[in-house]
Amino acid sequence: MNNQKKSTRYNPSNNHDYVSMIQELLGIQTIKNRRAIEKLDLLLLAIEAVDINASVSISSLTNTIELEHIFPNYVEVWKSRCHNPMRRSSRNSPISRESFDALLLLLSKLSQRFYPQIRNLLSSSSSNLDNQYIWSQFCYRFEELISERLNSRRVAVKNYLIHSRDPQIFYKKILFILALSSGDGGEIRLRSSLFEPLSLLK
Amino acid sequence: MKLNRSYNVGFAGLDVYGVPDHSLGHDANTIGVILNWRLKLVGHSILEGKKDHIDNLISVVNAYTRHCISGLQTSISSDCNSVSISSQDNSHLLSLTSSKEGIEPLSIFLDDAELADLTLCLDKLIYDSSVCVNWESIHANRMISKKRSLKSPLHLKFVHLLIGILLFSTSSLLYLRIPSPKLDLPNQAIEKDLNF
Repeated sequence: MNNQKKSTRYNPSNNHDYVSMIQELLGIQTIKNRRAIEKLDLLLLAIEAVDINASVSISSLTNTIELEHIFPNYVEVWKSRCHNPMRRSSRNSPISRESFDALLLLLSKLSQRFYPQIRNLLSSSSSNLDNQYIWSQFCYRFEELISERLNSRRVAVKNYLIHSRDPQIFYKKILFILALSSGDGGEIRLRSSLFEPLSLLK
Repeated sequence: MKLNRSYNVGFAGLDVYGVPDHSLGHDANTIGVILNWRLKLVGHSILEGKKDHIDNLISVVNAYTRHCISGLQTSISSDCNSVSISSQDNSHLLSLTSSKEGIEPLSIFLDDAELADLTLCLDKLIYDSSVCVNWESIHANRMISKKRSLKSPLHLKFVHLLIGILLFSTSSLLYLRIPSPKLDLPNQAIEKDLNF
């Protein structure tokens, strides 16, 4: 009985729903939401830079982890990612909670799938010529994707490209986030970190 | 009967030995009580200990990786200081102090890939459905953002508000300083015309 009383008094999920409902009605994104979707999209870009066929994996993975009802095809994934304000063609409306959670789960599973490649790029012991070539290829692809997909007139995007001049620090931190996002507890870790600003990585 | 579970992720390999806790109704293949464990880190000595030691290791590594994933560099140590981890020159220093006397503390430098391996290896143990152990470390969720916002100085929280008020008051003062144009009254205008 007491428990029932407590649940009617305070329910954080309900509270969050009200806030998100008001935001949706007003059609605005809060700074935290913008920050989270910006980070999520950048991490997905990093995954695409790690593996050139990652977009194919995204499509197959949505079926494997039963996300077809949210992302029936790759276009829907792309539309959700376009809520990132740093994109060249971004959508101003806030991303739905359902799509955001699905993107988060998708990123965690993708990190898990590409963990061997991510680990190889992160490892300091692997410094032979082959690995140096893989690293330079990753940096090149990531930089290309950033300038292709994101609005380079935005200061934040300019900053990503400035950091790409010293990729050992910024890109390794991005890859480290991806590595820690994989595994059974990866999704929880990723969720707790998404609202932190990217500026902390610099 | 003693049960064994092995978890291997890249550089880290963990073996856990335990028995079912029949008082909690565990079946014969479920570990309910951890007797001991062995952690093999490639290129380093083998670590061994009891349940409390691995609980400390899990709590420290989990808290540290949560800070790392948020881009925060910090050092974390367990309550009894038996396990601590901190960032040092693009690597992570894991220090382990034995509870036995006469054994020197062990320091292990891990790079990002090795720390990720260790974290995923410990994750496998925590989320293994056949190991029903109450991990105290999982419940000790550290609210990093809350901690960070509490640590940030008070004046930084209100800096945007102060700048806004300052800009508004400056623009209002400037507006007041602009002299209002002198409008000629109709009679005065006629007089002027006649004089002309």
